[in-house]
Amino acid sequence: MSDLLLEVSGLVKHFPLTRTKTVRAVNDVSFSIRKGEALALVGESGSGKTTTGRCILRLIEPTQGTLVFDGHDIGKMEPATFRAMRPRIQMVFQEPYDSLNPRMRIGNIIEEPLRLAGGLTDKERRHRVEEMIELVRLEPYSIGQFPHQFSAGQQQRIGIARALVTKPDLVVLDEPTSALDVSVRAEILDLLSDLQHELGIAYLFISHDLTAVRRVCDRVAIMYLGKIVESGATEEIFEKPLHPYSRALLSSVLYPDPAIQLSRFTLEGEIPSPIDLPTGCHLHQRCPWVKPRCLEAYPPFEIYESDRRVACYFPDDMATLRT
Amino acid sequence: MATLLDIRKLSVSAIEERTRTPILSDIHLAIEPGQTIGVVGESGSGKTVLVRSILGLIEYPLVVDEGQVYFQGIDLAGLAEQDLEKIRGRDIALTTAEPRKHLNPLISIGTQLVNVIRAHRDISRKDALDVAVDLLTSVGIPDPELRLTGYPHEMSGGMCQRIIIAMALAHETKILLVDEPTAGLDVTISRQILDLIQEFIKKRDLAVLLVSRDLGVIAHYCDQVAIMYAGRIVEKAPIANFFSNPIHPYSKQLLRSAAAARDRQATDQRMSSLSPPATVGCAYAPRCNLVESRCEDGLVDLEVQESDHLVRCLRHDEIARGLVSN
Repeated sequence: MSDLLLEVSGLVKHFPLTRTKTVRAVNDVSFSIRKGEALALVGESGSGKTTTGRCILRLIEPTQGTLVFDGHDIGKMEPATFRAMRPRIQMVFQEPYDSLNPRMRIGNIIEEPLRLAGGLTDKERRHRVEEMIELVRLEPYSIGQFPHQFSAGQQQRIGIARALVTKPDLVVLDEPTSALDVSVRAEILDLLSDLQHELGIAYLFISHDLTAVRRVCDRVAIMYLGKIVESGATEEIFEKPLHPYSRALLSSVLYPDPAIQLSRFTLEGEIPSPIDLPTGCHLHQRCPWVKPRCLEAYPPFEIYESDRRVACYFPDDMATLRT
Repeated sequence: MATLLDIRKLSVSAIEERTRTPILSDIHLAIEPGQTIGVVGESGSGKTVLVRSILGLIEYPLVVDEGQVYFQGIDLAGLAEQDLEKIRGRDIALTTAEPRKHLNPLISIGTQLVNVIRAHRDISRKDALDVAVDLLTSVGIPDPELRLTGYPHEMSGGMCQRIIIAMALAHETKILLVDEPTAGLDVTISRQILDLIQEFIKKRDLAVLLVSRDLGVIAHYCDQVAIMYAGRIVEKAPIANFFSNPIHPYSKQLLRSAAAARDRQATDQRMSSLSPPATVGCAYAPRCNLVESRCEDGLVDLEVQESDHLVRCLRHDEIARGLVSN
């Protein structure tokens, strides 16, 4: 039995705009998540990270590609069959308040996925909800309260409790901390990290926030214009980025310490439109190291070292470059 | 010569029926040309109200209780609206957190820029358009002539922020108030915007008040920092001092939260609970683990720790000497 939990291969999602124009949000994305592993999908707006996450939950239907979850081809499943899998794959949303029904009590919100899954008695469900409330460190009396009675950080805990109540194997976290203040953010990240280790769940952590990712995730995949440009173990990517885009992204992070010198490695211009994708490497218009070859064809996503892949013709140049 | 911008003892409250809720209390800040002061605080700490009250842009239910805002020795609060309008946008300009919301979706970028330019300068529309082209070029917008005929929805968030900056710098701006310049922008774009603002600070000797919740932005783009908690400045210091030697328990907690994000191994002492600020005594007391009974008694003053390092904490001396630590 393999330890692969999710295998995404050749995922494509295009949104038709007019007869001739198409938004190419996700273009041939492949990655896998092992059991109990936290994988980060990092990218800026328009990189296709959220679309990728939504395709995995079949919240939107992929245009192409296969999704294999624990040996089942969930991409081709009938919706009714897939619904039976859903308790095993859950999601936590970006806006904590908007993702909670304001008219439902917390107990009912957390209980709902169990009710949909069926198979438990009222008493067992109630017991499970109480367990979840304790697990995410909320007060027991929260059960009877409404979402507006909580702070943003607490609301996000409720969202996490709702996602974990069915004991999923995989949780897709879509920017779980970007709507939160610094101190609350740190708290939620710690909670997510603790829960992952306690319960052995796998995460697909979608974020533009590199510092959050470093804290929670084992592996990172960096996306740019609908493609993964680099993937590997978190620390290796932070220490030695191989793709020029990864490097620019990492050097844009402003650490809260004036003694750390700002890296001058930044990109010019903005992300091109996913309607008119650039020919060749998607980054060539913005890359300071562009060479003629980069304009010809998109570089293959090749293995660089054991668990390290990069889609650049010249990864060694970047590996030897000093900051 | 009078200080360029001098805020003294500014207090603002929100009035609701019979109750008064303090939003800003006892704010003292002074800025000189070429200086960038960062204002940090979490949601609801009063950062945005501070920026808006400098320009006299607060309205009911918010009212100024006391205090003055001196611009080159003139008390802005004492000015008539029409005189204030001459200073607003010309000498003191504001860039906002959500640039797209502050651009009119129905008017072309060119017309909006021309309106801003002609508000304080007596020039023809045609000449103003030429100025607009130069402005867009100076904020790094490619094909400025083409962009002038465009509308806000056709631009990215980063582009809208550049246009707002162009508007703020359309005149002989002396003071730039920058509210959350990177909110909602991607990291690579954030860096571009911050570098752009910094370039103008150097070129034009601007005085800048930069509001942000991101300590990374503050650390790299400001000379001084003022930490706000529940409407009060709780600590104010030069950047290097603050980051190497924060004193106020809230500042320390804030820095720890931020540092923990950077370093996976960093020990992050978690906040026990996020209790709301106290209304009597030190506002931070309910969350502070160095709290003593006297903290809850009366108002705590902003005191000098060393020359220009100010702290609003009764135990600042003990903390500075390392006798206690949270």
